[in-house]
Amino acid sequence: MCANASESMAVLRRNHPSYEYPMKHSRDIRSSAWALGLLGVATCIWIPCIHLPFRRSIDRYRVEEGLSPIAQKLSATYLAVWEDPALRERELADMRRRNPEWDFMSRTYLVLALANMSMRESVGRERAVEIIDAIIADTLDREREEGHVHFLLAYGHSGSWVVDPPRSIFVDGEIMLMMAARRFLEEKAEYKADMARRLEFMVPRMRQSPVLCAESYPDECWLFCNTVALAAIRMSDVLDDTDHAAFLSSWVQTAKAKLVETQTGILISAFGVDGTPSPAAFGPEGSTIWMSAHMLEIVDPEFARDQYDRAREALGDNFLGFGYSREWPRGLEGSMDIDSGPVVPFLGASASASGLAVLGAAAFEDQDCLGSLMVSLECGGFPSEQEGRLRYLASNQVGDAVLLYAMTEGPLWTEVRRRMQ
Amino acid sequence: MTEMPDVLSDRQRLRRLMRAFLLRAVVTLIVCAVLHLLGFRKYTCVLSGTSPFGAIRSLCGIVYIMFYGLAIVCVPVFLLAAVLARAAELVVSIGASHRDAASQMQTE
Repeated sequence: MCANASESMAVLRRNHPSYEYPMKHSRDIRSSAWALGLLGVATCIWIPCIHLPFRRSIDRYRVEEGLSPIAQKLSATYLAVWEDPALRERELADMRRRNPEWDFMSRTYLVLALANMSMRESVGRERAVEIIDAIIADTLDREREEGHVHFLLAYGHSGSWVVDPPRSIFVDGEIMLMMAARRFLEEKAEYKADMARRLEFMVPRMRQSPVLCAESYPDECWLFCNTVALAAIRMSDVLDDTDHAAFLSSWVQTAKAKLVETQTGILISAFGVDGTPSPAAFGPEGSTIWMSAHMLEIVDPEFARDQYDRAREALGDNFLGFGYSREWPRGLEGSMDIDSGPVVPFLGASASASGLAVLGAAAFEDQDCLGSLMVSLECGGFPSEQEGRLRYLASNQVGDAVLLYAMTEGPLWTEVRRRMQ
Repeated sequence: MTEMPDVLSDRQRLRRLMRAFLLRAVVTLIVCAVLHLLGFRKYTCVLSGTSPFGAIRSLCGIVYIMFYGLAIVCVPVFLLAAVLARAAELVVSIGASHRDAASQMQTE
């Protein structure tokens, strides 16, 4: 029978070549319909659950007392870097090749993390102080030998600075912050003198601007650097009984009046000495505002909270359970640069903004936001653990240092606030 | 009437689809495993915007990220679709055997 049927089909096909097409089409359409239907149902089941394999308890990242398991492993990686001179030189050279700013910032975040870890009694005070001193000494050596602008990007080495003498508040502010954090653990006269000297440069330079901000780069004032400087000034007041309360208060009032973007109410990222928004970062940016809000916590807590809430509204987002931060609010998109890193099309997500959003969420105790950001970190951070040391391969030293600081942050700011009172 | 030889029954279609879904899932996982073993994971720092590696290694990082994405999104979908295809095949065959039994009873 079958043989007869096959022969009949062969005859039909020979005589009427078009005969097989309707049948074949019908078969293809039915198979395709099954395939599409099954894939559609499977997709509908999987997509809402896709974040679940990456969701972990928040205690793995951040705990009230002591150190979380992830923070322990991250810190093991970077303590080893600073305790082994050969490894340190290799890692820092690698960072400088990529971006000298990142080399510098990774030092600041690691010092802040170490100060907090020591206050959490998870790293001995002596060990923390020893590593912090090594970091600061190396930073000061480089500044002395290579010049004040050593840690700036190439365009900071030329161009005309508006305010004399040419100095970057990025460098002064972060060095002061590192020294201040160290002095909260244990006093060091040498740092006290250096902080006083830098304060004498910074505050008058800031006062020369109508927006009370100093240049990070020639005629470019960055909010990030200026808020770091404000935090350092506040810490200096606490440590050395100086009083810049009126200056800090007028900075906040000026910022509210002149540096806030009208649509979102968030501070803009970069501007000229006269306050004109810089083309490089004319609006609010995720890679700036999360850190700035955190720094403002010890300058004006209410304003800091307001900025965090606005940033959360305009920049914080979630896609299928994966939290992320946009680099720019919708409608205020800028162009990608070394700060933003690659920005995911349509979502506007940026790796650096999201990394700093982890710090913001941790500092402002926003557990929902922190939880969903950690889901993204587990999925897209490509964690790699070897011998109890953790790195996020998609990140770099500064990214990991930000994460470590976010996971340990708390005691230092609490101590600053306590001593402010 | 004889069934045309190149016309598939739903049962056969579903079995073929199940195999096709499983094959795709397995192939994707094997490619991911190979890329992982080749050490491409460490080049994923391309995500941070600048990579200390050259263009070719950065490209390796991008390829790894793409297959990693496929493994997360598509492999579970293919596996679920295979399970659903198998379930549908069982339902179809149970329905067919009920129909055969009913028509046999009618003939008798």
